[in-house]
Amino acid sequence: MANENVPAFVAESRLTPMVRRRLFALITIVLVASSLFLSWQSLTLFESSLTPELNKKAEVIGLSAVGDVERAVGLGIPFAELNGVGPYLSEIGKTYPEIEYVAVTDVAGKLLYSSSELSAQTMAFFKTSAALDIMSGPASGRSLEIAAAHNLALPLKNDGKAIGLLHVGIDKQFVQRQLNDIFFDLVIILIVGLLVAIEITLVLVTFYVTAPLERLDRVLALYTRGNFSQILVHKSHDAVGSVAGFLEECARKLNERYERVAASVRAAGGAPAARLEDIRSRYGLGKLSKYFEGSIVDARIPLFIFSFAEELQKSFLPLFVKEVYEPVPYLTEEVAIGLPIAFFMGIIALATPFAGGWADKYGSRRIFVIGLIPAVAGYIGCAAATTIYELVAWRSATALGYAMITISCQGYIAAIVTRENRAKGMAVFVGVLMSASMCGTAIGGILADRIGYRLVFVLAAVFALVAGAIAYRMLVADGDTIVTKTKQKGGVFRKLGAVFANMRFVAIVFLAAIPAKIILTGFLYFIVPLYLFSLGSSTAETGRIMMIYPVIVIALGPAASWAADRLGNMMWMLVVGCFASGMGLVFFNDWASVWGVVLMVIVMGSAHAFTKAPQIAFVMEVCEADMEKVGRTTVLGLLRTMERIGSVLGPIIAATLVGIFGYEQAIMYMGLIISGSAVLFLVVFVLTARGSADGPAEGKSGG
Amino acid sequence: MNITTKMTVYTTCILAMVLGLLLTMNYFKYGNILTEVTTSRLAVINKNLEFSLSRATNLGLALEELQFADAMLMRAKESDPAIREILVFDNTGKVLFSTGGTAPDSRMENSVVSLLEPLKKKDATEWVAHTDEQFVAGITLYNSFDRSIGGVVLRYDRANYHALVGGILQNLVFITAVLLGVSGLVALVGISFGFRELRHTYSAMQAALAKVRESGGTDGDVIEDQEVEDFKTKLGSVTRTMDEAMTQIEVSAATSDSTKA
Repeated sequence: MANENVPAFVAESRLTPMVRRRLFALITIVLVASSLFLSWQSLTLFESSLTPELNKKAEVIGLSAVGDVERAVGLGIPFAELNGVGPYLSEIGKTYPEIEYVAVTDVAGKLLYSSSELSAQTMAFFKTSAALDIMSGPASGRSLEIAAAHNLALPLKNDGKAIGLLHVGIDKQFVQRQLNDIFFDLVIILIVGLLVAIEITLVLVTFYVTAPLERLDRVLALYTRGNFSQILVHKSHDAVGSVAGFLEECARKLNERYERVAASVRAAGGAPAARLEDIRSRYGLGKLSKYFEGSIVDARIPLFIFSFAEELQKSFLPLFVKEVYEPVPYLTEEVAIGLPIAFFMGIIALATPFAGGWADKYGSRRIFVIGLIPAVAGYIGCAAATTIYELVAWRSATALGYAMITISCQGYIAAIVTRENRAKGMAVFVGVLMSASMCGTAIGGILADRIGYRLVFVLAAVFALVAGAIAYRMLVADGDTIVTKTKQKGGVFRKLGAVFANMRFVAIVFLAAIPAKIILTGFLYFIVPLYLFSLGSSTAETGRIMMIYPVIVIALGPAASWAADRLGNMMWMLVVGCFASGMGLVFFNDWASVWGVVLMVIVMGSAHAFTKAPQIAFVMEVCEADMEKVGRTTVLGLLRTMERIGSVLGPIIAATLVGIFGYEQAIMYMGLIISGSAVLFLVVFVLTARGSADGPAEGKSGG
Repeated sequence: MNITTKMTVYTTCILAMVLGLLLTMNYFKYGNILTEVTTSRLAVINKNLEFSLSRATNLGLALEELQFADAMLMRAKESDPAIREILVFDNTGKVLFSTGGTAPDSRMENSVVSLLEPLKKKDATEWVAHTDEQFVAGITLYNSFDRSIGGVVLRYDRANYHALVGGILQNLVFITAVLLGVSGLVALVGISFGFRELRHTYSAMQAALAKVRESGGTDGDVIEDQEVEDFKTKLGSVTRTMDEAMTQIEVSAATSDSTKA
C-alpha cells in the first residue's frame, strides 16, 4: 500500500489534522447553531399557524352538536327533557380523543346533559357571568381557559332566542401533544441534517484540502529518497497544484532523459548498460505511474448516498405493497405483504458471499458500478410495479445490487485499512450505514407523503446513479493494490468451507454476531413496539424510543473506534459489549415502564456501538490467514450472511418467549441468553488461545 | 482561488445544502401536518352527515327520499366558507343532493370518480384525496343490513391551505437566507482567523517554489520566513537528488559513447 511505505516526513506535518479538526469544529458549531435556530423558528411558525387550525376542529364538532340539539328543540321537545342527549354527547367524546367533555347547560348555566362526569369547579364555571355572556354573542361562540380544559362555549338557540350553551372541553394537552410530536419530528430532521453535513464535510475536507497536502508530503518524501517512479496528478491552481506540477515536471524530465539514454546504452550492452540498470533501480526510473492512495473516505460518500437511496422506501414499503396487493394463492394478506421484504432480505443473505468473492476477484469499484444495474433497475421497476409479483421481482433485483455494492465498499475499506486501524475503518462502514439508514428512513417518509411512493423510488434510482458516478470517480481501481490475489482456487462453497474450519471464526459468528442480531431484531424490532403499546405508548413515542438506538450507535461510533485502536484488544470489547447488552435487559425488565425500555435501549445501543465495528475488525484479525487464502471480502461477506441468521431467529425467539412468559420475563430471558453467549464466547477464546499458537490473534487479542 | 476563499466556499456550500434540506423538510412536514389537520376536520363534518343520513335510512327511508338532506347539507356547507360543495350520491354514482353547481340526477364528476378508483379495493369507509385545487373527503353510507347505499363527498377549497403553506414557505426561506448569510460570514471570519497557518503554508509553498525555480535549487539569498526556508530545503533536496540522478545518467551515456568510440 502506498501509505505504508511513506515514512517520517508525514509525521512532521501537524497541519492536516489541525485543518481537519478546526474546519470540522467550525462547520459543526455554525451548522448546529443555525440549524437549531431554523428549527426553533419553524416550530414557532408552526405553532402559531396550526393552533387555530386545530381549534377549528373542536368548533366543527361543537357546531354539529349544536345543530342536532337545536333541531330536536325545534321539533317542540322541551329543552330539559330531550331523550338520549347524554349518550349522544358521550359518543362524541369517545370518537374524538381531543374532547375532554361535551356539556349542555340552560340559560342559568345549570348542567342538563354531559358526555361524562364533570368536576364541581367546571360546573361552577358554567354559571359564571363570563360563560353566560357568551349566549348573547356570535354563533361561533368563544373560548375560555379553565382549570379542566380549554372550554369552547357555543350558544344554543330556538327561534332566535337563547336557550342555553353547549360547552366543548378541549384537552389542554392535546394541542401541546400535537406540537410535541412536531417538535420531535423537527429534532429528527435536525439530526438528519447534521448527519448529512458531517458526511459531506468529512469528504470535502479530506478530498480537497487535507488529502492533497498529505499526498504532496508523501511524494516529496519519495522524491527526496530518490524514488521518481510516481507522479502526483493534482490539477488545481493553488500552491499544491503548482508544487505537484513542478515535481511532475522533474520526474518526467528525469524519466525521459533516462529513456533516451537507455535506448542507446542498452543497444551497446556491457558495463554501461549494467550501470544504467543500477541507476534505474536506484531511482525507480523507466516506468512512470500515477501516485495514488486509497482512503476510507473514498468509499464513504458513495456508500452513504447509495444506502440513503435504498432506505428511502423503508418507512412506507408495506403500505405501498398493500396498495398493489391482490390475493396470492395459499397466502394470507399479511404474509403476502411481507413477501417483498422477505425476498429482499433473503436475496441479500444469499448473494453477499458470492458478491464478496466477485469483489475480491474483479475489484470493488467494478462491482460497485455493476451492482448499480440491478439496483437501479429494481427501483425503476418498483416505481412502475402494478402487482405484488412485480414488486417482489424488482425488490429482489435491488437486493442483488445492494449486496454487491455494500460488500464491495466493505471490502474496499478492509483493503485500505492497516492492521492498526481496522476498527476505525469498520466503524466508518458501520457508522455510514447507520447514518444513511436514519436519514433515508426519516426523509423517505416525509417525501412519500408529499410526492407519492412511486416518485420516491424514482428518486432512489437517481441517488443510486449519483452514488455510482461518485464511486467511479473516488474509488481507486488499481487491480494490483485493491484486488487481493486469493491463493485457494475453487468455487465459493469450497472457500466458505475453508473459513468454517476456523473455530474462532465460528465462535465469533455463533456466540457474538448472531446473538447481537437476535437481541436487535428480537428485542428492539419485535418486543419494544409491542411492549410499549401494552404500556400505553403512542406509535410516535415508540418510533422515537426506537430511534435512540441508531442515534447512540452513530454518536458513540468514533469513541468506540478510538477505544478499539487504543486498547487494541477487540475480543474483550466484544465480550464486554455483548455481555452488557444482555445485562441491560436483565436489570431493567421489571421496571415495567417506558423509562425502563428507554434505559434498555440506551444500554443496548451503547454496548452495540462498542461491538459493531470491533466485531468486523476482530473477524479480520482472527481470519488473517483465511483472508489470504479465500479473499478478504469473501470472509466479510460470509460474516454478513451468517448475521442474517440472527436477524431471522430474533423475532422467532422473542415471540416464543413472550408467548410463554409474558413481556418482562421474556426480556429477562433474552438478556440472559445474550449475556450467557458472551461468557461462552470468552471461554471458547480462552481455551483456544491455550491450544493454538496463531500469531496475530494471540498477540493482540489476548485470547 | 486561494485556500481561504476555497474553504469558505466549501463551508458555505455545506451550510446551504444542510439548511436547504432542513428548509425543504420543514416545509414538507408543515404541508403534511396541515393536510392532516384540515382533512380530519372535513372527516368530522362528513361523519356528522353520515350519522344523520344513516339514522334516517336505518328507519327504512330511501336515500333519495330524505327531505331534510338539502337543508342539512347547506347548514354543513355554511359552517365553513372554504367548503365548495357537499354531494350525496347513490351506489350508481348518481348525485341525489348537492349544495353547489352539480345538478341533482347528474353523474358524479369524472375528476372525483378518478380519485375514488384507487380507493375501491381498500375497502375504506372514509377516505381523503386531493388535487392541486381541492381536498376531497368522502364517506360511505350503509343501510341497516350493512350494505353500501351511496356516499357523501365534500369538496374543500385549498386556497386557504395554499395561503398558509405559502406564508410558511416565505417565512422559512427568509429565515434560511438570513441564516445562510450570517453563517457564511461567521465561516469567512472563522476561516480567515483559524486557518492562518494553512494560508501561510500555501504562500510559503508558492514562495519556496518560486525561489527554487529562480535559483535552480541552489542555496541563494537568505529567506527570513522559516516555513519558506523549510519548504525550499525540501524542494531543494528533491532537485538535488534529481540532478544527482541526471548526472549519473549523463555519465553513463558518456561512458557508453566513449566505449562505442
